[in-house]
Amino acid sequence: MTWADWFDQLAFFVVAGITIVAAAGVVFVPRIIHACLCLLVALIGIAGLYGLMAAHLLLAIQLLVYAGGIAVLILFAIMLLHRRSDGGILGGTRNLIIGLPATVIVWFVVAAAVIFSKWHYLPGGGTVSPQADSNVRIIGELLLSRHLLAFELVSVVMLMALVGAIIIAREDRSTDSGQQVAGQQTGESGGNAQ
Amino acid sequence: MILPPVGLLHYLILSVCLFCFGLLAVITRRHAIGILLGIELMLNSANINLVAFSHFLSPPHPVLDGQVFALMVIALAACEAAVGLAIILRFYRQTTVTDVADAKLLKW
Amino acid sequence: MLELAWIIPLLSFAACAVLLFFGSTLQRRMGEAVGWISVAGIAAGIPLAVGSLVELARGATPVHYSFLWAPLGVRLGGASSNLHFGLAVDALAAVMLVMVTVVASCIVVYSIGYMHGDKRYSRFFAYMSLFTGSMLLLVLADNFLVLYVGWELVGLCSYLLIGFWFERRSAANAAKKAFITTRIADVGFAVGILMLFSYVPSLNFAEVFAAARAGLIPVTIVGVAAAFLFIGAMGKSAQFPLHTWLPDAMEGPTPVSALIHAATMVAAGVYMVARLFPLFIISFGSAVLWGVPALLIVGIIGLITALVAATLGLVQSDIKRVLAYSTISQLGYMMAALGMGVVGFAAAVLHLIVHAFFKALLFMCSGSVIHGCNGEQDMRNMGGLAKRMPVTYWTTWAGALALAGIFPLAGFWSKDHMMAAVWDQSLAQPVYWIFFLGLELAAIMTAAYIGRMCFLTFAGTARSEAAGEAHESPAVMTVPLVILATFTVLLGIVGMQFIGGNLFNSFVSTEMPGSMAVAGLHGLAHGEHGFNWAVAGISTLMALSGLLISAVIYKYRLVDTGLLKRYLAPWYRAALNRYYIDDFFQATVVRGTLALAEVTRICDKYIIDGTVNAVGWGTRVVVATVIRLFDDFVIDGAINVGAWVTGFVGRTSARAVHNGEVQEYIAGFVVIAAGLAGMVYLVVMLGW
Repeated sequence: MTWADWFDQLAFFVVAGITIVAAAGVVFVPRIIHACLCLLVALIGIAGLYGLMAAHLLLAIQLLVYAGGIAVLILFAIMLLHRRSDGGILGGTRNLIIGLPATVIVWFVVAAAVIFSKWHYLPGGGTVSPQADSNVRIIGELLLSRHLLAFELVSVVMLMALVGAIIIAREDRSTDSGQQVAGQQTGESGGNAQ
Repeated sequence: MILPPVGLLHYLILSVCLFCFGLLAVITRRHAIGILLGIELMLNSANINLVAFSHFLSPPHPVLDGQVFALMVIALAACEAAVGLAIILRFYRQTTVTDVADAKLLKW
Repeated sequence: MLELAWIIPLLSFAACAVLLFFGSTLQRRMGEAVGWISVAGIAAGIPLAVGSLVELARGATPVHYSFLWAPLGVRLGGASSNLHFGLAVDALAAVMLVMVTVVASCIVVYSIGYMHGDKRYSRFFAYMSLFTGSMLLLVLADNFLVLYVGWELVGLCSYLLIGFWFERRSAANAAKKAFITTRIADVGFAVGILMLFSYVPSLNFAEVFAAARAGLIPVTIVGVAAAFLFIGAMGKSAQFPLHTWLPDAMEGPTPVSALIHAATMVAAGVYMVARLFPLFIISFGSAVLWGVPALLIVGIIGLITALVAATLGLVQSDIKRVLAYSTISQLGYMMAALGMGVVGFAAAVLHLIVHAFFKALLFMCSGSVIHGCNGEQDMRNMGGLAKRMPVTYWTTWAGALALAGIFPLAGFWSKDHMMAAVWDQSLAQPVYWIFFLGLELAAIMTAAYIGRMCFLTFAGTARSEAAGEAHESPAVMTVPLVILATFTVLLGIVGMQFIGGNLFNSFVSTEMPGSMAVAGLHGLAHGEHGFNWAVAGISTLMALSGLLISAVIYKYRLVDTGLLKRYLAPWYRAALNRYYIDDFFQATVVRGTLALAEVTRICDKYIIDGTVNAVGWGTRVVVATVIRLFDDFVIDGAINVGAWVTGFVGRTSARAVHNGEVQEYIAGFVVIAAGLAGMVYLVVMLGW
């Protein structure tokens, strides 16, 4: 085992350890805001794993979109809500009684599937090829050629999500001002999930 | 101690662990946002799988379809987070409740 | 200028697009000045067209643009065939360009006054622009495809414009008649094109002509194809017996009639025959029908048309219908001249140009008269307009004399040139004297009916209230009249050239190679005839006698028209009924189509619908009973049992599970999913 391999191993276990611990925190920490911060750490850890697998573009996007975008968004949302704590996993009543066994079953089933499957390794897999730093170009070409349809569909879905999120979370003016006609009020609140 | 070199299985097992934590969070967390956190965790574990397959099972010249899939998943996760948070905010404003266990309007 | 000639139709199309899309907005802003957009689009082409003509006259080589439109791939025989979009500016096209742009500009200016207050004002000008642009495209075409495109566009525009006042049933019918008649003829045109295309892997005129000349296409095929192409021309140029749509086309606004009769629609047919003239010449040696070659068919149809239409023109009482039959007759002249072969070619083209000017003039004059008389079109209710409408009066006479062929107006020269061609041909082959006699007879009648029209309209005293209160038209209408009248007088200068060096003749005939004189056209290469005094004398005599006859009857009233009607009763009745040609078509084509439609309808309604209904009825009666019984007992019973079971389970056990706890649902779902996945895994992967 060379030093490089050893370092690779060390890096993986350190990053994986941090990620697992942080993920456990998401589940067990009582205060929801702390859970969110744990998720942030886990997300950064996953970005590190991407880096170890030479997926540099994904690393960047993971940091920007997840850590920088989604996690912060959730933090803001938490601050908008008044209830800060739900007691974590232990605060629940009987959910744990069903949930824990269910999760353990899932873990064993999937882990067994992973370990006992015959993975079809191709020669040279797992090494970083000399073209590794041209990942971005290749991904770009793939996005605009083989996966163009999916790419376009995702863009449509994002637009729909954007519009939908705005409409759902919008201030309901008719209930705020109270000066609207009653018919309008019912008409508008009928469109929202009541 | 001589460990086997880090390979596909390492990442897959790690991914399973993360997935199960996410699942646990979804099932047991009572706060709606806690559920959302769990879902994000599960999506990320799936992403790790995709990237690991792409990395370990492809020939030396990189075949990066797995990473493209991961990108799509990230994009969709962003959508899901936005809509999910919007629903939670809306629900909270309507009922001043964030606990999914209290959302039983449709029960029976 | 020659390089820019392709812009000319584009300008008209641009004007059309502007008016179509922004017409109503612009009209709100500019009022009725929107018409000037159309004028600008067409008139902007005049300098380009004149410049092209001048350059070509100075000896510039014709310009030719072509780009690949649709590759058709390789055909059998190895030659690949592609469809090109090609425009070409040669002498013939340039002459036509000048004519179309000038005449159309005058007509459109005139319509600004004429269409005053119409509710679809801007759309009218959009159509006019499109019409002119289509004609210009047709003129510039260098292959059959573009020619056909322009051809059909012209047909479409004529439909739109004849039926412009479609609220009037007669206008809508006239539009349909024009469109369907020309459509039927267009089938012949298309067949001709496809026949040639099946032999030559190109639609380009030059290549097709070259192939035909080189014998790559059998001469018989060339002849038959030419005859089919001529059928198309018969429809567009209103040749007997497909002329019936043209008099009905008077239902459109008068400027439209002027445009159709002069610059665009009917000129297309003659132009097409002229453009494809080599095909007719090459096939002269082979008979198409009853021993007659395609070229002679053109001539014979032309002669019949000239005579028939002239006789019909004598009895019309509607001022516009007189002119309509006059147009048909003159087109017959042109076709007859073309039928004379190369000698008649330049003459026919010259007459086409000249006729466009004076016929547009005459139509616009008639429009001015109608405008002045408040929409009155019947000449019997006019009279005495000479003093009330002096400009219209004088310009009408200019056009009328040109039509009659009086020296030194333009019509004299072109008609004389055509007659000279017939004369030359007759000297070579005595059979052609029939043509000469027939056309001279038509010349008398031409002078007679146009004289009749002028005398009835302008001479004497007013015969109705409207005519008594007639007023001169506004300047926007009279100025184009004066311009066109000037052209009508001055175009004689072009005719003068025939005395000297045959300038126009040799210019227009530049595409006609000397080798045209093939078997059967012996001695007919390039008519180098000078001015033929004998022909000129006879023609002038005929024209003057025709005018004299009309003056005697209608101005001095020395002969009672009632008496004439009685003496000529059988002919008069037949002519009033247009020789029953319309009735014949009505009885055969229209009735036939309607009968076929009726048969189809009956088939559909009684046989097909009947079958379907019978099946439906049978099904309803037989099956419904069975189904009802089944429904009542089996299905209802099963559902009731199912509902009872569900209710029992729900009351007793399921209630505990359905507790509304989302997360418990998820947990249950996960356990079951994991269990299933595990089983699948064990079965599939481990082979249990």
